[in-house]
Amino acid sequence: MAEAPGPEHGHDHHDHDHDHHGHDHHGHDRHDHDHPGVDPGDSPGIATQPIVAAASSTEAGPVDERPPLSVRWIHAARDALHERWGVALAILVVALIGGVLAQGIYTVDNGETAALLRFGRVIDDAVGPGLHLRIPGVDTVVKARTGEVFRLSVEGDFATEVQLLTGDENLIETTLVVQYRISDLGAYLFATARPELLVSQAVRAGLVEAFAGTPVDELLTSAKAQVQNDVRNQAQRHLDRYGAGLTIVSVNLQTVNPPREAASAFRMVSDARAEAARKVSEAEAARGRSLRLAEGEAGKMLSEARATADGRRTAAAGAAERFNALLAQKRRSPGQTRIQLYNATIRRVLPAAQLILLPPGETRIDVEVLPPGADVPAPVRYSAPGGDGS
Amino acid sequence: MKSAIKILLVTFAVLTFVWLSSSIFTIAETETGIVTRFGRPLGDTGLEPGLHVKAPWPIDSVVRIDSRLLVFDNEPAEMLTLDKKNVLVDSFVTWRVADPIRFAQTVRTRLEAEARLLDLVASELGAAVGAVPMIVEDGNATEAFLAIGGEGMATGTVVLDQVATQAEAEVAALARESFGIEVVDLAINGFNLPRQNRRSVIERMQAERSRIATFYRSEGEQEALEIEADAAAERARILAEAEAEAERVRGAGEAEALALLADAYNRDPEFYRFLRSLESWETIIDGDTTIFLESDSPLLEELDGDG
Repeated sequence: MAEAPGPEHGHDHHDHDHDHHGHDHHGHDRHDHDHPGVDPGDSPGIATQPIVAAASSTEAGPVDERPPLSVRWIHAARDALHERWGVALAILVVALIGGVLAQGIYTVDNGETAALLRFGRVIDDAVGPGLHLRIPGVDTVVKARTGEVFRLSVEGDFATEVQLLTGDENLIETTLVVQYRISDLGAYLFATARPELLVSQAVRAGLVEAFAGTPVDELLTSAKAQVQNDVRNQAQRHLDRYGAGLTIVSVNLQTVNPPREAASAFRMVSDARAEAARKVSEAEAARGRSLRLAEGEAGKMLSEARATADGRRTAAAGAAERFNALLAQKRRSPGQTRIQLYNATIRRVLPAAQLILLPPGETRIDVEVLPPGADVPAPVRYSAPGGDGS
Repeated sequence: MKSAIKILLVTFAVLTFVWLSSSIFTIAETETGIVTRFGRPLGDTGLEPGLHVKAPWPIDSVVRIDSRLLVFDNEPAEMLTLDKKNVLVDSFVTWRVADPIRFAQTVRTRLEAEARLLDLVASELGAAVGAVPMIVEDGNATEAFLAIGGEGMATGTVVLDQVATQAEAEVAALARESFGIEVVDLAINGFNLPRQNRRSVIERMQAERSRIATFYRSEGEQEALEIEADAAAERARILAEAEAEAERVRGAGEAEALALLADAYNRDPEFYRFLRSLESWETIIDGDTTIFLESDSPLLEELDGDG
């Protein structure tokens, strides 16, 4: 098998040229093999191009060199027969075999996975990093960076923002980034024509659904994480249906905004909210102040009451002591004490009052009710002490 | 002469080899193929990827068909919902060739296939969209395109996905039968109002926003007032409780004082009454009091004698 690829490859190449003249013959296959990895038409407008085609079998060097080598080999064989250039022949043969064998070796870098195709058919789609062998001229190797997480901006039809309708019929615009990785190389390379386009379409389908189920206020505030999660799950369901070999790592809504024309109206709402919150917190502050004042006032009332009560107790104690003292005195000399107390009181009290003196023995008093404004005779006034009553 | 014949023979051999080699061909992993003999397909399924043999040209030829899943993004189309609202529905179709022979006989190319799919999707999706209202107006229906989550409005179940799936079933059946196409997915990836409605929608949004702003403002004011009222009530309660406590404290002091006095006075109630009457004189008699006395009253002597 080792010698076969050389000449066959030459034919293959020959046929390939034929096909350009319009024949629907074999030879097409090589051209098509390179498609998934190399053809930029497969993924237009997509920033990432993770596929690396290891098309060493069609590399310019060996392919261009070999026909002249073959010719020279024929010459060399003839010359060797006739002129015994055995050494030269041996060198050429070794070089030829070496060149063919070199093509049978390929490497897969760390973070990459390779798919090995024989006659266009996948025979292994999970070749890991390291040095590997293939049959030169028969096997094709396609590599992709399976260890990498790719990033894709999903855009709208008319702008970078995706235009959406919210659950309460508001217009809203969002920009988002999807992160995904290749989870099945064979499926990624060969099952779908434009994997990145599938990702963005699946994500947009998830977006439309998630936004249609959520009111605008939640989208602008609290629902972002939930929506991102929903979109990711929904999009992944689509991708699984396609057998796309892709796993969405995350969906990130980078901006979620109302249309520019309505932006000020939305700001008005957030201003009103802030104002309402300010009013409430002011009221709370006033309440706190008022309650602290009330507590202070209550404390004051209470301490005043305690002071009053203490005063009463002290006064009562004093009065009781005085009574006890007087009582002790009275017990020592009953009559004397009573008279002295009585006299002291009379002396204090009587001078303030008006006294009307009546003749001795007169016990009847004529009281006449006088009409208002009548001239009232001044009463006889006694003034103490040493008063000369008139 | 001999060399000329030799050259001819070699040339013939080479040409024969080339001709025969046209009977060996490969089918790539991404495609399927049909071998046609003088234009008529052989076999009834597509070829698997790998190495194949056929009769050499020009007897048999190979038709290669992309077997991968393909995406076709439709243009947004204006449709009418059940509640007669215009919506701009954008959709995409993912499909693959399921029956290469039927496909090759009917549509042949991808562009042609997509044009047919577009026709199918437009009519089937239009019908499916027309069976569902934009929003739930009353309690009769529960399924709608939008779940209204605003204040006091009914909440519908969003059925965008179901509508697409329903249309997909119709499209898939027709496409499979007519063109040998398998429709894997039909999904809605855009659901908007027509551009000419944009202005009125924005005006409605602005009006709604100002209503919501007013609501928030008055809600804030109301809450603030409630807090104020609550504070006033709390303050009154604190003061009343303090007043009651103060009364209790004063009462207790008073009671204690009275007990103290009573203890003392009970030792000689008669003497106490005497002292009390003296004290009441002091409070009863002041400058406005007139006392009638006989001129020989001992009280007067009392006043004079000590003076």
